[in-house]
Amino acid sequence: MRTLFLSIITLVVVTGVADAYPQYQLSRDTTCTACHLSPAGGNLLSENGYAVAEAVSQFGTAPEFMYGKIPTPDWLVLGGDLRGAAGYLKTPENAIAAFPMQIELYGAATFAKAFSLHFNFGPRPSTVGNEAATSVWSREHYFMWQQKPGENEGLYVRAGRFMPVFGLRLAEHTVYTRRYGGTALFADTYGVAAEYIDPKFEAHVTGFIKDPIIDSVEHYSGGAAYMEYRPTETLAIGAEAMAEISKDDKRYRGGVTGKLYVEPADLLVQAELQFVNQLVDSPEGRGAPKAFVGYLLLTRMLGEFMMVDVGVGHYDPNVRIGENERTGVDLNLHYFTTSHIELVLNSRYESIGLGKGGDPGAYTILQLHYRL
Amino acid sequence: MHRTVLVAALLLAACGVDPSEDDRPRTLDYITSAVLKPYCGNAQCHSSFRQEANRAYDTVTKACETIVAQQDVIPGDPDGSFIDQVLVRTVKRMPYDQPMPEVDRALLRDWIMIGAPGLPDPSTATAEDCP
Repeated sequence: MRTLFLSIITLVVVTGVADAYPQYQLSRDTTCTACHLSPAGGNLLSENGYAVAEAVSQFGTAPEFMYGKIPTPDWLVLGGDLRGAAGYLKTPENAIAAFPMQIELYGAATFAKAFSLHFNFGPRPSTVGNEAATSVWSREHYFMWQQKPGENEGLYVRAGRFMPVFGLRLAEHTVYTRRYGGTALFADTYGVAAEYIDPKFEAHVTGFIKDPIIDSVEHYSGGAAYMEYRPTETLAIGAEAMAEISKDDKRYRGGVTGKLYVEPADLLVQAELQFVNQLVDSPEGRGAPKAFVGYLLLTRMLGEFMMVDVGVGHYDPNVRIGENERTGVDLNLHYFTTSHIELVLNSRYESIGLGKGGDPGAYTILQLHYRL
Repeated sequence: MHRTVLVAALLLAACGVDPSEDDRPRTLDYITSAVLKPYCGNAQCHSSFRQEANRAYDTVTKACETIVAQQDVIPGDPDGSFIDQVLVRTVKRMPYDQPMPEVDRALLRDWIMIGAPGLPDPSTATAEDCP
């Protein structure tokens, strides 16, 4: 009997990190740096980000860190995200799960005006057998130089541990173009990035190495580039490339992105299509699966404080082999209650080989997100 | 719009050869990259980062060490191999967070059936014998 079983899972199975909402790009502002301190988006908000957080929430409330009750000096910005989730998974076994998803504190300290140190800190899924040394970590920490301090454009140079900027940068790590597209959960690693942000275009070039300090999720060294051109305030076209080299294989990625804000309908359409050429050493000479991964996302605000996403993803891990590709439909509903509290309902249905390649999967998970 | 998406999905799904003509390599290197890493070696599960249940399947070396230490594969006997049994059991079925295509499970079983090429004999090997 396929059992419905109850499991309370602690940082084991579906933990994650959720960052910025690129859904606001074009519909609210043109760049990630309009709302975030990092040129990649995510984590700490700028003054404008605070204003947006307040404006899109139902009950407002002071949007600053800890409601502004803990003042910080001008050179220090603090923040954090706490997320928990519970829901139903069918993969294809039926399960009800509840789990902490994200507990992270962020900080950014500015010195000598143009330089800053960015870091986050929190618990992580520990390595089994080495729990004492792997219970907490700093997923991101980097030094940054900014050409135009206090502004949200110009040249940025970062060195440290972070996720290379690549693709649509959607928050949900289960989106196919993240999971299979080079920016999987906890794939952050050490690197150096040069990034230029302008209202008309942005470019990010990152060189990275396999994490030399911890047992990491990804084991590649290489480089990534992402460029986006915005011919109008409502249209963005991007191109991406990544090379990843490990002891076991090499992966080369190339792709395009597009974003269109349909103003009359308040509808943002985003898409990414990526080709992946993986080279696996094989004496038989057929170890080169060529893969495609794509995602189409439609986003619309429902009133002033709810946002709905409908996404369609497709991943074909080897175009030569039939019935192992997966197609998923995502439905996400965001409810911004106060400037700090958000409820998110994430749901997915996915099929393998359009139903011919195996059991389908599904989940529906309710997240509670509190931003410090 | 919906029709366009459906047509695009069908076209993409139509790519690929018949699964019965699957000529992908049956080697530890390839099995790790095509099956073990993407389905088992995710961050929260059997990655080097997490090593859930003392298992890591995200590199060839880690996969070999895991199989040798845990005796997850019995070369020549896919039905008796724990690594295949967990894919069809009814409780705590693996992969836990996503369904696995039958064609990739078949590839894994074929590799075990022909003796798990690339893997040192798990009954006598130690981690030092892994690549």
